[in-house]
Amino acid sequence: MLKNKKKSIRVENLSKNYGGFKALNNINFSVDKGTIHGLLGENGAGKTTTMRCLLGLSYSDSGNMFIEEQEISKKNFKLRKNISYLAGDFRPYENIKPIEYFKYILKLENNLSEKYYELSERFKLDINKKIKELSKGNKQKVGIVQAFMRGSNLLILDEPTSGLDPNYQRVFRELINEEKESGNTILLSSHDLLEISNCCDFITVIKEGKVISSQSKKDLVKKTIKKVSIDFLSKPSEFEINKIKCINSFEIEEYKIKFYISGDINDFIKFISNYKIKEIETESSNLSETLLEYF
Amino acid sequence: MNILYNSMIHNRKKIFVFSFGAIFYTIFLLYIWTLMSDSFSQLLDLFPKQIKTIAGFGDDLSTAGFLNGEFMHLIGPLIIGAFAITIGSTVLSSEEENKTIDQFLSLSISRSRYFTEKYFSLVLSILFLSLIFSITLKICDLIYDINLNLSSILYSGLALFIYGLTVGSITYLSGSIFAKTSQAAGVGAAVAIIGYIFDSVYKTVSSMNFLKYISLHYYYNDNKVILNGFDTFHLIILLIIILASFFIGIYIFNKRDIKS
Repeated sequence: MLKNKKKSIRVENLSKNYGGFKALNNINFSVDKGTIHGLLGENGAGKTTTMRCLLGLSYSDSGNMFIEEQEISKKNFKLRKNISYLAGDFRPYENIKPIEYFKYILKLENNLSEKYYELSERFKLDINKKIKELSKGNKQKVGIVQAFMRGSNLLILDEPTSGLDPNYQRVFRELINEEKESGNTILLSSHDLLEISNCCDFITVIKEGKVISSQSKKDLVKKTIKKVSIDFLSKPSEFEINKIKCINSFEIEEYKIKFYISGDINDFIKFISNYKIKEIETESSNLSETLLEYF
Repeated sequence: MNILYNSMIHNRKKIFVFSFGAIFYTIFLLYIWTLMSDSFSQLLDLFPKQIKTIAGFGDDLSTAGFLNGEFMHLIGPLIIGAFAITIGSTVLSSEEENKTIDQFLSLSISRSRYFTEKYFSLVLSILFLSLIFSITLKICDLIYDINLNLSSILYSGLALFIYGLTVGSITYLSGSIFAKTSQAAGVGAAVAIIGYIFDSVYKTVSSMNFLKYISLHYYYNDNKVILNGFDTFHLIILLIIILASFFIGIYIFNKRDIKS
């Protein structure tokens, strides 16, 4: 169903070098409209560079990028009218109040939105205190509010929950889900596996400037490895076990066998139904453990 | 115009401090002049000709002649140059250094607009300080009755503005290339100081006459603007430097990555 969706972002063969360092090496991925798409990778993997290229803060060496099917170019800066950005290392002006900062940003685009009142309320952000007097977490809230206040169709958020306490991380998750419900698209980057696995519909993993996986959360969940320990009364032979495709590996300890399985488990169920079983224990690893394998 | 307005607000403390310095210095200088104007020629006779030439004093013993040496030759360009370097080096590159620029350039505004509005805040700041100089001179003229004609006052203000804008534009250009406040300020200061040194050297060592052509100071005040008005050719050279700095700067700023 999702495959037929319109693309909000399309990145084709994007490469970017910094001197001799290949920050992005021919990367390809696309973001469906109305979804939350996570960019996952270690520090320095290329997530921020990808986002900066999309926003025209950095220029790619080769490749094409499209937003709403319109090609991103130096001249096409008006495309950004419907894009909001939260920088990973968000730095607002320190000597003004959040309310002044929000009004200034909105004025630059003649945007009359007053959504920042409601958003600040949700994050319990004091908009009348100078930004330099705010804590790191509250400064991050300023960044989140400025990203969401403009009413953009596409939000590009680099490490958005950095510095937020768990309570406001929850508020943030609610907020991005509301945006998704309204049909807006969110591209967020993180190296936090839990955050990505909790929030995103699609996950693209970048490693050393290359996309090593880009798939839906559903597909990833299917690949999640489940551990099943079975105490057999009559145990199968190793030869028979090796025939079952969904069994990734197994450990035998007398009559007890621990199976590591992923994908379609029907074959596994049929297989074990042929044997007498004393006891079964199952343990499912979570998505973040699966994602960890990409690192 | 919001970026320009915001920049002016951001620079207000610097503008205030330099304006205060300009007013204080001008009033003090002209007060000293009222005390020593009668003995000025005897005082100048104490110095060798080369020193007088380097200091910008000629044969004119009027208030304008005194101001040409004390005010236009040294302290005026020093104050306006330092101001232009301070604003020119910070107005754009400090935003990049502090990473505050990322959020603004991710909006639907062009880099050219951002660059231009920031540049015009530099222009307006320098214009403001030049006006402060001119207005203070006029007020001093009224208070001390020193017979300074209006054209001298206007020429001095305009010459300082053009000089300041040239130094400021070169500094701003450096900032748009390096995106570093310290490097931009270093280039601006080097251009101003070397210009002053070359101007002094060519005046005293005839074999070094060629140095004047690479000295901003020469183009700025070789004609003794406060006494003789502008040399059109020199004015054109300075305007070309200003325009070239602006257009090269905008080209580079549009071409390169914003520092992350």
